[in-house]
Amino acid sequence: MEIVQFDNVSRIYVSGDHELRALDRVSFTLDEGKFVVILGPSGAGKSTLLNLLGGLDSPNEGKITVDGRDISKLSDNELADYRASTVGFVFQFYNLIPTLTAYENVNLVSEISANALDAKDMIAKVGLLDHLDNFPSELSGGEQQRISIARALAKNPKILLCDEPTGALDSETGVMVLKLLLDMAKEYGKTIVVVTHNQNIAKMADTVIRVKNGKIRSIEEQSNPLSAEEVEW
Amino acid sequence: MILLVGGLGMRDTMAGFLDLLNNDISTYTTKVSLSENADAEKAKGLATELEGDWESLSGISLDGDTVILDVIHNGKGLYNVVDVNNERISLSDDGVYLCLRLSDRANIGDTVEFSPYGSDKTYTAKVAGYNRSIMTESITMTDSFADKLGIEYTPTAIYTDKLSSEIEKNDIITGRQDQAQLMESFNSFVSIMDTMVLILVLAAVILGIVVLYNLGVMSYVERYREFATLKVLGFRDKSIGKLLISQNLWLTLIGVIMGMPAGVGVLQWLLSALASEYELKLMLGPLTYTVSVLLTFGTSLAVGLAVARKNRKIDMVEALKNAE
Repeated sequence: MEIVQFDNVSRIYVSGDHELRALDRVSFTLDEGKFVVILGPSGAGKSTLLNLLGGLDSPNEGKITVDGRDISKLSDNELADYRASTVGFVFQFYNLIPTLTAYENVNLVSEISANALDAKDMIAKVGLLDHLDNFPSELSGGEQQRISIARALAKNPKILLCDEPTGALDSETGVMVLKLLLDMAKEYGKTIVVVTHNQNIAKMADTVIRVKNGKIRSIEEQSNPLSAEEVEW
Repeated sequence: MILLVGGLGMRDTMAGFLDLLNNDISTYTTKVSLSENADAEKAKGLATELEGDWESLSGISLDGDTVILDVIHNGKGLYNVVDVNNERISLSDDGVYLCLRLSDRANIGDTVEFSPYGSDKTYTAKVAGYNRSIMTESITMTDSFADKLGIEYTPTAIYTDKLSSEIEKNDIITGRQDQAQLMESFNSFVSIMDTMVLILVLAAVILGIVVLYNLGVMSYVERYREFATLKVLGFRDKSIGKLLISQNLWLTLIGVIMGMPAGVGVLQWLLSALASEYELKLMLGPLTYTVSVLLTFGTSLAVGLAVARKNRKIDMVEALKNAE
């Protein structure tokens, strides 16, 4: 079942007389419950694509449908509600609130999500129950990313959007985080979209979308994706 | 908060002082000043004729300092003496009253020695209490106690309820002053002070806005990434604004709780600095507290709203691009 549909979507940045097409008439669909990797070099437009799907930005042209709802013309408040209810984010640099503890960071989303899951349960799932009262500065990069995953899943979103989730981690921790991400998504039935330039992560995906110069180069379905442990780093 | 409580409190204190002067100390209609060389019996006779109270002011030496000896006859209650709490004192005929500025010279029940200027006599008197002197640094006693000690004095002023026009000419009268005129001159002084207090209050509010806005913007810039994260998670601009404002208001509450006693302290310090001239009692009305608290919270809220408006311009994509 399709959960995401991009229909001739363009995102154009204008600076003076100069016009940059970060995304140029992009069309694709994503199925629910799949692990999708968007692959491409820096400046290809993959983060722009993720930002549009996440409701952080709006397209200049085209239509984006998520879970049957057109999000391309939503107001700021409607986009905020969309972000609160439908998508969860995992960033390269974690983006935890430095003045809140691990528990408070995860529990924060209960204020905006009607279907939020229990924060403590989610932290237990990512194996950091002993670090409930630790501030982000007291956690390692891998631990911060696990808290970030717990926060994203605690909102109980339909789609998990991950922007270079292992980009700031060493390979060993990266494997652990990816495995956790996949296991959690499978357990909770989430669609995961990972943006990366790391070819190895693509070997784990059900669907690989290759982006270059703002255009989709290829969409490849993989019938036998590798597990995180099988991928060579 | 400190400036507001201090400024408005000074106004309350002065208003309270005038109220004390008008309603508790000076309830006469006319003050009649008498010649220094007037015959004492003649002066007392005139006071009886005018159905008034009288006082005699003269210089004395107390421990080498020059102070005023105030001998009072106030059976009619037209000119009164008040204590530290601004309550009227029914003067005792068994001792003297030291003004508050002299209260550190002797305890109640102790004795003080003083010598009138132009006389080689020294008198010893028990301290019966302390009084709030509205003008001069003084020792006060009743005429009966002065007579008992054998002090020579001549009334220098009579306080009467008769109108100035009803008082016939007399060679010992050197001047007449309506109490209303006296209060009028005080009131014009207070209205000047009101203007100064208004300027102080405006300055306090402007200072508050400038300082709080700058601190707010600095804090906002520091927390920009944090707010961007909240926005990405799905918090609306309004919710983030509420968060920012509520944090400001909590800090303001702490500021009010600390600023209120600090303002009273500053006022107390100001009054103690003025104590060599005036024995003012610190007075703060509920309106002063209310206006100070409301202005402080109002300023904080207005600044919070101005800073919170910036939330709308947060660029989530840019803010979250880089590591901290």
